[in-house]
This record gives sequence, structure tokens and C-alpha cells, in this order.
Amino acid sequence: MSSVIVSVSGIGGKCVKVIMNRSGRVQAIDGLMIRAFLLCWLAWMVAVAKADETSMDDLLSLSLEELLNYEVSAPTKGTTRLADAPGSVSVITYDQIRNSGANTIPELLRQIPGVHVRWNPMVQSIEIRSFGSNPFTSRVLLLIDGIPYNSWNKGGFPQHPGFDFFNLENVKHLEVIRGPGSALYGENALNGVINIVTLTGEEYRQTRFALLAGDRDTLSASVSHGSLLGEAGSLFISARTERTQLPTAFWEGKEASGEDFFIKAIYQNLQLSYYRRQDDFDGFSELIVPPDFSFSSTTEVAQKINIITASYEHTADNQAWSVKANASYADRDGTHCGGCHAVSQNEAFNGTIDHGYQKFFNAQLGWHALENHDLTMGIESRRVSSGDSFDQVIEAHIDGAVDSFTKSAVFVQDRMTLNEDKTQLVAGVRYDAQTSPSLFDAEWFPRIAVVHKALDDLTLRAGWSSAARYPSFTELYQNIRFFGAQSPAGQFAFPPTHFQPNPDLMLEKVDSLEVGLEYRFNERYQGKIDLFYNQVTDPIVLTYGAGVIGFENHPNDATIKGLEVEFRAKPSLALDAYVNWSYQNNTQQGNALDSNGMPIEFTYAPKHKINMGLQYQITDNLKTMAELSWRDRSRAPQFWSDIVFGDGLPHDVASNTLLNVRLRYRLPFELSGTHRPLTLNVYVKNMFDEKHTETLTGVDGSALGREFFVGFDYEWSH
Amino acid sequence: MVNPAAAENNFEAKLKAAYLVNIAKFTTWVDAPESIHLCIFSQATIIDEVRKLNGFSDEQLRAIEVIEDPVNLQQCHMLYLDAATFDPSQSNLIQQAHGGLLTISDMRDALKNDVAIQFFVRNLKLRFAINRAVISNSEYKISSKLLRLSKQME
Repeated sequence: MSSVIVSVSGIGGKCVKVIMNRSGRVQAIDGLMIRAFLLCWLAWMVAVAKADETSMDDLLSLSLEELLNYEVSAPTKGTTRLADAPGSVSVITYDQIRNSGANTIPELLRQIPGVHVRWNPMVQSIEIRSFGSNPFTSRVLLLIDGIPYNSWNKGGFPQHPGFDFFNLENVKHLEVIRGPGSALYGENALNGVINIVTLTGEEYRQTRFALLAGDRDTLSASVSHGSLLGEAGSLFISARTERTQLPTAFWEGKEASGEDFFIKAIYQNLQLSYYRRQDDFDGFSELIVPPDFSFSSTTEVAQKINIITASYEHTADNQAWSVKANASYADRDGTHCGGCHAVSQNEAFNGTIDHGYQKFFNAQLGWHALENHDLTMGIESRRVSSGDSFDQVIEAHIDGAVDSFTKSAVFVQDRMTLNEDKTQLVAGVRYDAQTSPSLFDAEWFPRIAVVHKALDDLTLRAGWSSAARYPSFTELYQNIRFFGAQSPAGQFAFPPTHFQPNPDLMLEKVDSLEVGLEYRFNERYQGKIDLFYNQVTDPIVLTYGAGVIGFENHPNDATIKGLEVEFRAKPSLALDAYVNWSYQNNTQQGNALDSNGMPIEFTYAPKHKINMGLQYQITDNLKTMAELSWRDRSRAPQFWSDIVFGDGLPHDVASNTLLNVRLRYRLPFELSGTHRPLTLNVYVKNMFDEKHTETLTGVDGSALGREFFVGFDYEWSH
Repeated sequence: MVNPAAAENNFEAKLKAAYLVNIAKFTTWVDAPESIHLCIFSQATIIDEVRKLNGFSDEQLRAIEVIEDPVNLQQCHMLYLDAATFDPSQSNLIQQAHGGLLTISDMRDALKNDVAIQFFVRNLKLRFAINRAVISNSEYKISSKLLRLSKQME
């Protein structure tokens, strides 16, 4: 097939050559292209940096009408200065969310250095500085407004089987801590913490209707409303309905639908919120089984999640102290992860199963009266339950199995200011008491960090912390067929894969050493470098034996060393850009093998990750955004090589480059004066038409290629 | 807890300061001062940005002079009251305002407390509302353009 070479121009000249075939599809993508693109990008950044002026001067040169278009993005606002936080923290602001080419939270998170997002294949897996992923658990703690949202059943994200776990319309900003967070947040904050911070009615103060349609039979409609309530209150409310197909080849033609509802009311210092999410999608029905055999699976995979939260905050008039308390109850009623594959094994799996609840309480006192000290002390209690149908889920009796536990914790942290405010020393520790019943022993999670402002524009950071992840109910007790097919006689023809739990699993732990620096070239350009060294002890790995998927603590420990480099720029009021590169090297310590004769595989943990983003305001009413995300190849589980390739040899999933582009145009329809309430959004996702393997399993987990979406927003203020 | 607010920049403060300049541009005082005296208390959250306005001028504005912690409001043409650091004792200042003092605040109930212009946030964008009763009895005149923009936002 003949090819054409297309030069993609950047500011300052032609930078990148893309080899395309006549049908317009990208035919060749190699590492050189990415490197060339990166170098070009950096060169352009340096060039535009010379045109610096202060932001204040820029704002003063604008007309009042122009100023009215700028968002304050409270409280993290605009281009965030990351260096002041005593760790590797990234914040995706309201502006960045609204102007992104992303429609979901995982798509946004993919742009953060050190974060890797993929489909595995039923859910999105979100990993931070990962040393190997496990589809049944997560090593990242997910919070909504500070309340844990991880699935209390399996320790992983709750979007199993959900495909989009929180509506972006509700989000004010996202905070991502890259690195252990157990000193403040306890278990599960092993590799990082993601906190979704939601909008208040006072901040929103409008009504917005949004419609999105496109490939994969996608159709989504949402309405959001924010308003003041009296003198001291506000109300935010949103609702959404959506349908689509999951974006891997295996799910083509199978419908996934979902609805969610969120309400948040604030009166003075009290805040109440309620979140409801329900997912429903077609089950497995077309796997190939021998003739005359039937594959028995659930025909519907569903879940319903309810979360109700109350929060109270108060600060003393003299600012000497502050208190904050959160109480939350959440439950999930849904199909079990294993049950959805093997309904024939147990009738109960045909319907939804109660998967339990979480009760959470947290209170903290801030003491700010001591000179040069800012003290935080807190208590926390959490009860998690695997649910009423636990016996069905575990199938077989396991000695000592418990279906719920309660855990209490205390924590204290002091932020000391030294050296005429140039240095901050943060020291903290959290004590998690033994669970009741005694499933897990007591643990200490210490942390120490120092932030030093070496120059006005140069900030240095260093820190050490310790964290742990508790094994989930799934890993400890789930004893179930993963895959079942029946002969006409009604017997299991092959129970080839069978979850084999391990009630003796120990906590996996990490000790992390981090150093970093941030340099502000000026108010418009900032760069950031983070280095980390993680020592992992007792990593929990999946073991693939003959017909069995098990869980065990690998006899080897591991070290994860890495580097993350970020550069952000806002060279003019019309232009925002960023580029980041992450590198990590995972090695095991020792030569021992697990029970199936395998070393630690470090699956789906690419060595290199590069992200770039650009937003450009072409005219007052037209804006374009582009986001590029490149992932190096990474190791797939060797177990699946035997099934997919028949050779049992180690295989990698290929590197891939995702380029998403969005065009936003405010249509020339005026409600009053100059305001244009109707906006057209056009999205092109995966522009290079990549069909890479997201996850290697026995089904086709390849990406679907280029996709198009069109959306309309209509908003009015009140 | 890791406090991202500690990592915030001051873009909202910059916007508010820029709005203050624009309000000054679209207001005329009967005594036609050589420079507009913008008064503010030094604990205000936007103080760093307002300080940068000192001496600012362009073709639409003669000059802005920033006065911190004014002891006598007679010297002020504009007074900014900050919601986050508002001291109830400052309420008296509003009541004592002379006819030529243009008061501006981001307090939620500012207009009800006879402040002339209130800043507020809607859809995370900074907006302002004008108290027409207050300005009708004042010794300054706010341009029709500012009034029109305000009306659109209400």
C-alpha cells in the first residue's frame, strides 16, 4: 500500500513526520517520532518563554468583557503551584477539567505523570507508580471529598462492573498524591491517593444541560444545577443517564448503561451529600465453548451504589483552632466479580448480590495557636462488610473467614515552620489498631518530609513514609469458578480457572523515599522533578496454576525506582500547555519463585510514560484542545501467553500512543447580551487509530481505534 | 491532611484586582480626582495583588493609589472589604461611608448591607452585582456599560 508522509507543524517549524496510508490511517509510529515530538515541544516552550509578562499585567490589558470569561477555579485555581505540598501532588483544576478532551475521570488521570490507566478488560485499572496490577484489587486509595470510595468488598475501585464511576460535571478538581499516603489515610493508600473534590452550589450557580453522542452507540444526557440557599446555604444537584459499549473489541455490541444522581447541600458549617450510581450491562454470552456445551453466565451484570455523607467544619474566630468531622454510610448491591462469569455454579449469582457496606467516621482537630507549628490530630473508625451473601460468595467454608471488620485509627501530624518560613518540616504518624474481629494486626504508618524554599522560585522537597495495603475479601476468601461451561449432562466440562483464595495473606508494604524540586521560571512557566525509591515488602501477586488463579505474597521483595518530570506553561492568556515524562524501573530482590515457579512479573507497568497537552483559545468563542499520551510496552502475565500464543513465553503488550482532540465552539445564539449559552463540542479520540492490546487475556482486549463524539451544552445562570 | 489549598496560586485574587481597576475606569467622581485612592485592609486575601496596582494608569484611568489600613475614609474613593478576613467592626465603615466612597466586597450579603458592588462566583467565574439604591445617592457615577454588564449577570 502506498503511503504519504504528513508533516505535523508546531509553532516554530515542522517537527514531526507521520507516515500514513492512503486511507488516512497512521501506518508507522516509532519511538523516534515521540522523541522528536517531545524535543520540538520543549523547543517551542523555551521559545515562547521569552515572551513573558506577568499575569497581572496581562489581566490589566484586557477588557472587562474579556475578564468575565476567566474562571477562578477556586480553591486550587489556575496553574497550581505544586511545590508547596510536602509530596508529589498533582491537581487537575476546574479549568483543566472543563477544557480537557476527557469525558471521564480515568481519561483525565491518564495525563498525570506516574499514572497508568487501561481497560482490564471489564473495568478501568488505575495505577500509580505500579509494581504490577491485579484486576481484583487496587493499590490506590480513591476518595470523594475525603471519604474512602474503594470497594469494601474487593479493595479495588467500585466501578466493577461500572464503567464511569463519577460524573465529571460534579467535580471541582482532582487531587492525586503519587506515593504512599497511609500516614494520613491508612490502608489501601499504598501507591497513591486520588481525591475527587466536588462542586458546591455557590461555586456553580447555574444550570447546565449536556448531551453527548458518538461511537460505540454512546448517548449521554446530564443536567446539573447549583444555587444559593438563603443567607448561608447552597445546593448542588446533578443527574445523568448514559449508555455505551466498553471500548475493547470483546465488548463490541454489548450495551452498558448507567444512571447517577448527586446532591450536595450546605448550610453554614454543615454539609450533606448523597450519591447514587447504578450500572447495568450485558453479561458474557458469546464465549466459544465446545459443540453441545453451553457457556453459562449471567446475562446481566449490575450494581447499585449509595453513599450518604455528612461533614462539619468550624474554625475559631481567632483562627487558633479548627475542627472537621465526616460521617458516611455507603452500600453496594451488585453482581459479584466472580459470579458474573459463573452463574451456573450458583443460582444466587443470577441476581444481584448484596455486597455489603461501609460505615466511616473521621474527626480531626487542627491546632494553630503554637508559633511555628500547625498541628493536626485525628481519629478515624471504619467498618467494612462483604455483605449478607458472603456465604454464597465464598462458596466453600473457610476456617476463620470473617465477612466484616471494624478498624479504628488515630493520627497526628505537625507542620513546623523553620528558618524564617523558608523551611517546613512535616512529621506525622498514624496508628491503625488491630481490627475487630482480629483479621489484621495493629500497624504504624510514619512519615517525615521537609520542604525548603532555597530561592524565591526554587523549592526542594524530600520525604520518607511507610504504607501498607490490607488484602481484600476477594483475595482472602473468594473461592469460586471463574469460568464455567456445561455439557448436555449438566456437568462442568472444564472448570479451568478457579479463584483460589488465600486466607493467610499478609499485608503488602512499601517504604518510600522521595526527593523533588520545583522551579518557577516565572509566573507562567514551572517545572517539577520527582525521584522516588520504593521498597516493597511481601508484594501480593496473582499466581496462575493449572486451572487456578490464586493470590500469594511473593517470596521476593521488590524495588521500584523512578523519575517524573513535569513542565507546565501558560505563555499567553490564550494558551495552556504541559508535558510530562515518567520513568520507572522495577526489580525484584532475590531469586525465589512463587508457588507456580514464577518471579515477580511486574505486569502492565511500562518503563516510560509521556503525556502532552495543549489548549488554545483561537477566538473568543472557539477553543481547541489536544492531549497525547504515550505508553511504553509492558509485560503481560505469562499465564495468558500459553492461551493466546500457545508458547508459554513472556510477552509484552505493545507501546501505544493515544491522541485525543477536542474542538469547542460557542454557537452564535445569544440569550442576553454577549452571553452564548449553547456550546458545540467535537471530540476525536485515539486519532492515530491505535488498536493495541489493553490487557492480554483469553478474550480480545484490543482497543477499538479512532472514535468520534459530538456534544452540546446549554447553560444558563440564575 | 495534605492541603491543596496551600498549593493554590492567586489567580482569583488577580482577577478581583483587575476587576477593581475596571470598576475604577467606569466610574466618575464628581470631584474628578487626580488619582483614585483605593483603600484596603492589609489582611485582605487579595492584598498582594492590589499592591501591584499602586501607580497603575492607562488612557482610561489617570492613576490608582493604594492606601492600606485607612484611618480616615475621607481619603478613599474606593474601599474593598474582604469576606475572608472581614472583621464585624468594619461594618461601621460601611455605614460611615461618605457619598463619594464606592464600596466593594465579596461578602455574600454585601448588597443587603449597603455595599455598592458585590463580587460573587458563578460557575467558577467572577461576577459582580450593583446596588442601584446605593449608587443613586452617591457622589460618583457608574457608567451605563458597567450597569448593563451587571444586569446581565444578575
